This record gives sequence, C-alpha cells and structure tokens, in this order.
Amino acid sequence: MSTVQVKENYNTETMNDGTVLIKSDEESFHRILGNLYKSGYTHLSTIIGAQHGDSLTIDYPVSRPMKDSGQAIFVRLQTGLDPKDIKTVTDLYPSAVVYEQEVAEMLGVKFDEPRPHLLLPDSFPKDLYPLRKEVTSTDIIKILDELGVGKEEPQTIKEAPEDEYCMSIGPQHPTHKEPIRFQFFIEGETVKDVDLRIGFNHRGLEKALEEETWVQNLYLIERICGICSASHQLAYVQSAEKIQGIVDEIPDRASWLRVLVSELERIHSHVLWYGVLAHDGGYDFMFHITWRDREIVMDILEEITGNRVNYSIETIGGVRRDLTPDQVTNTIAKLKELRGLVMKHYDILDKEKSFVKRIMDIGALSYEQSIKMASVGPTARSSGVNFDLRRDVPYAAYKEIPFDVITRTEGDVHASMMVRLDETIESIDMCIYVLENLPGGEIALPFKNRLKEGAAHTRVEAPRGENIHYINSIGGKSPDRHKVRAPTLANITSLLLRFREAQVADIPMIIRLIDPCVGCMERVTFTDLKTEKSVDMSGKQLVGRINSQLKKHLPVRIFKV
Amino acid sequence: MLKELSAKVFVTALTRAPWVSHMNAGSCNGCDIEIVAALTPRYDLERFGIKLMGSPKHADVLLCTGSVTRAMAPRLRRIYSQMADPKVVVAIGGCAISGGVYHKCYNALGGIDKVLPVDLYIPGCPPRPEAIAFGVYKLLQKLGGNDI
Repeated sequence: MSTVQVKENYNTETMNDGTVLIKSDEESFHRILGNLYKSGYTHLSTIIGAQHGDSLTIDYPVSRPMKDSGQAIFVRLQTGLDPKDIKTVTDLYPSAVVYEQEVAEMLGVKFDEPRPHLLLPDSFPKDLYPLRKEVTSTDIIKILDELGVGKEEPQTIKEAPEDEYCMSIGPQHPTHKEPIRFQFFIEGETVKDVDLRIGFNHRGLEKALEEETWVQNLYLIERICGICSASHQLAYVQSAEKIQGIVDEIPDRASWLRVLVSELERIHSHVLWYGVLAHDGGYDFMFHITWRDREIVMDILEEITGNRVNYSIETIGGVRRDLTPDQVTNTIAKLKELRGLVMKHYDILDKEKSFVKRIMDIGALSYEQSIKMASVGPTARSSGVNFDLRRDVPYAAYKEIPFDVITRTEGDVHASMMVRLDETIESIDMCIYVLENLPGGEIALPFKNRLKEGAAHTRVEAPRGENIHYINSIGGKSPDRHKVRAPTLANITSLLLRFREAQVADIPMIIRLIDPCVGCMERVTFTDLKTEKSVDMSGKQLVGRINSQLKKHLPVRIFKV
Repeated sequence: MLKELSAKVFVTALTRAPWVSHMNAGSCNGCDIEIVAALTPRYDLERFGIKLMGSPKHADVLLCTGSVTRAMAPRLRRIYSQMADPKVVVAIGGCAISGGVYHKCYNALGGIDKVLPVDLYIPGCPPRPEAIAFGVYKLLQKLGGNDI
C-alpha cells in the first residue's frame, strides 16, 4: 500500500515533516494496523504516548523493513485521560509488548490484556505516572524518597522447575559492561528458558528533557549514550529542523560534516564491538590490538569535534565546528592508515580458525524471526534483512554519498561480526569520500532558542540500528514531549529467541551479538525496586507473551514458560 | 609491632599492583569506555600493575561510574561489601561526583558518595584516559603516604 492509497482509504493528516498520520479511534486502530501489516508494514518502531491537555494520543509508527521503503506511517489513537481496554497489538507485532508496557506505566494507558507490572515495581504508587503533565521530576523525587524507593535490596533467584537449575547473570557480572539481569533456566549445559530484567540504568531522562530548554537538551540528549551520542543528537536536531521548516536550508557543508561524524562514530563503535567480542571469546590479544587501533578514530574525532566521546558537534541549524584544509588532509591520511589496520583485523578475525569456530552457528536467528521480532541495524542485516535507513530513508547528505549495504543470511554471531567488519571498511571509505568532496560554504543557520509549534520524528541509522526520536513542540522554550527509542530496546526481544537451546558457554557471545547498549535502552523503562513480587514480574511474562504470540503466528516454540 | 608491619605490607601490596574492578551504576557508557581505553595499549595502565578484574572479590579498587540509579544503589552497596579490606573507591566522571547532567532526573540519586565512601574523584564528562591515569597516580601516592 503506497502513501497515496493510504491517504485515499483513511482519514489522514500530515505532520510537519510530511509524515502521513492516520487518525483513528479505539474501534478502528487495530483493523488499520492489521491492514497495514498485510501490505508490508511489518516493522513497528515504537509506541509513542503523549499527553495533550486532557487527552492522550498513542502513536504507532509502522514502516516496511525493505529497500526503498519510504517514510514511516503513524497510526494515531486519540483517547481521554483514562483510557481502558485498549486493544493490544502484540498479535501483529510480538515485540510491541515492551513498548505497550512502557506506555502503560509511564502514562497510565490500560490495555485489554490485564498484565502484571513488567517494569514498574508493585510498591510504586498506582496512580503516579511519571510522564503525565501533572507531576514534575521534583514531585516524583519527593514521593519516591518518602517511600524509600531504592533503599532495600531484592535479590531473589527464581525457583527453577524440576530437572532445571536457575543461573542468575547480572546486574553486575564480568560478561556485562552495563547492568542488566538474565536468569537462565538450564538443564545440564543447555538453556531451556530465559528471564530478562531491565531497568537498572533507568534515570528518567525523558521527563528531564521536557523540563530543559531546546539548547540544553542538545547536550542532555547526547548523554543518553556515550557510544552513539552523535546519532541521538543528529536525530534530535533533524526533528527540530523539520518542525522549524528549515530542512532544505541547512548548508550542504553542515550536512556533509554530519555524515562524517556519524560515520566516524560508526567506525569507533564497530571496532570497539569486535574488540569486546574477541575479549568475550577469550581472545584478549585481538581485544588489545583493536583497542590500540581504535585510538586513531578517537584522535580524528577529537581533532574534528574537540571531544573524544560526547562530540557536541550538532546544533539546530547546522554544525558547531568547521574543518580547516589542514585537518582534512591529516584526517584522510589517518583514515587510510586505519583502513590498512582494519583490513588486518579483518584478516585475523576471518581466518583465525579457533575463534571462527567459537562464534560460528551460535545464536542464529532466521529472516522470518528477525522480521517478526522487529530487530534492527547490523543485527537484522546479519539475518538477511536488506534494510538500512541511510539508503532507504536518506537523511543528512546520505543521498549523495555512494556506499553499499552489507547483508548476510546466517544470523549467527559470526555473520554479525562479518557484517560489522564490512560496514567498518565501508564507513572508512565513506569518510574519505566525504572529506575529498566536502562542499564549501557556511556551516550553520542562526537559531533563536524557540521552535515553532508542531511535531516531527526522525529515524537515523545509529551504529546499532534504527534510532527514532519524536518531538512535539507547543512553541515554547522546551519540548512538550520528546520520545526516544534506542536500537537496543528493539533488539532485546529478539535476543531472547537466540538463547533457545544455546550452551551456557555461548551466553556471553550471544549477549554480545546485539551489541547491547543498556544506557540507551533504559532512559524510560522502570526499575523493580522493593518487593519480591516485583522480581517475579520480570521478563517471564514478556517471554511468555512473545511465545504465545509466536506460537500463533509462527510454527515454532521458543521457550518453555 | 606486628600491626605496624602488616599495615606496611598491605600498603606496599596495594600500591605496587592495585587490581581494579569496574561498576556501572547508571552511567551513559562514556566513562566506561574511557576506563577500558586507559587500560589498553595506548595508555596502558597495566604497566603499573593495574589490572581489570572481572570479580570485585579479587579487586582492591572499585571504579564507579554513573549517577547511581535507585535500582543500582543496593547493588552498589552489596558489591562494595563483597570486596576484601583494604579497599578503595574511585568515582569517575561528572555524574559519579554529583549527578552531573542527570541531577534533575527522578530516578538518579546523584553521586557515588550518597552510597559509598569515596576516596578519589576524577572529574570530566567523560574524563580522558590521561586524566584517569593521573588520578590513579595521585591515589597511589596518597596510599603510599607521600605528599601530593
């Protein structure tokens, strides 16, 4: 179904960025989503809930994960402040369970399948929804402090069924770089079931974003994650520019520099990833080699942006710093040196038999499962999903830069490593192309601290996959609603499938496969805090629901729940 | 006499090869990468005997990053209690010192020292590997009883 057909068939309106928004109500939205699903819109990016005065809107951005897919279509459901019995969409999109739970707990939307708490603790005040406009961060802090949330310590391990043993990994564990908790139910050395607990890194950023100004948010946004900071900032400024209506006026040089920084970030992230993968596979030599060579990218980033980690290069209307001709020649020389080194890494990782055998055929996910679970980025591309936002929904200056999208079909750890290695080389070539063909001119338009009224969303291809930002502005100094969905949250549900019948020794490698970035993922999910009940409520329901949905729609049984 | 001697041995052992363990208590990952960068070949803190341990039970120094989320605060205490004495806590990055950019966030407590006694603060968002190396140098000097 093309956007033209959508406009003919449904009651639509157009957002500031040209996105088609289908208006619907509680009766019709599920049918509309079903029709869209049948015509190829199989990817639900997230669910965006927002409060507008005394009504709530729930947006379902859906898109087609394929070549030349075009923009996402929003299906908007408008309800009163206290919506009940909203039909769940997990029968169409099994991965929507985390998004629905997020909306339910942050805004008080009640879905028709009554669910136990998944993210919020049972002790959390039942009528306190953090993203509602009635409360501010200060109020919430006061309430939580009075209740003593965060003082006591639940550390229970689940009871395993007979013949099985429960192994708890996390939140703090040598295989994790960031806090996340898995409980594996194992029989012998085989994983039978897995239970996921997230929320240890949740800080409450989306609420804070609503309370800061547009310019302050530039710097808060990039601290969602230290590895993909530029992609978050890029998605934010592009959404803001769409609202302001200045997308076409952005100077060419600024767009090209944005591409340069995004690609440099991808290089550093991918090199970091396969270094850590080698480390997790017990190949420490490779880990040290890759991290030594990664410092070259860090030097380039520092020279271009002034910072090693949080670059702060973007600003609404352009970029903050320009390149001198000297820097351009220096950077090209360094990139060529790096290309040689990455080719060497490629050679070692591809040919070192013991390591290749270690990562071959573990954690595999098929194309169908990958589509069904809406996985994104290199993780999806290693399962054969030929989709890359840089090519299919081009932003910044990606239209003008030649590059290939790399896909594999195996879907295992080895395939995802090869995809990332190829992407690293592709990105280095892109950076060299950008530097050699950098257009001249201005680098930024002036910005006056205020945005027009309107709403827009941007999807960018972060190193880990699709990163979506949605901004609603009411013309003030700060956003009315700023929704972020980082790629790891999309990939985490597919991660659960990968553990099926895996060996215990492979667990760290499989976790590493999706390149988990917990800091990104958890700006909005909630912590379990106090009671033992809240530990019980964790990922088991999530897995259970995904299983039941998958059993209905795919002829596979995923976990024993 | 014995007490003095054992204290001396402890200090020598601690300052010659302090083993570190790393704990992310709600950080954005920026500081964590810089810690690893400081330990890998370019900056190579390992030449001073500093080694990253997986388990806190093997470590003398706990490197903490992040603004301490409500969920991680009890875990942080628990990890600290598992370490053998004498032990040292280092808070790395702006959020670990005061909450940093997350000072307004409702689920962040705002700093490692709200939960644990901190011996050394390394500021920066994130601190450069050189800054981490310099901080460690100061810490070793202090532990050895030298003036800083």
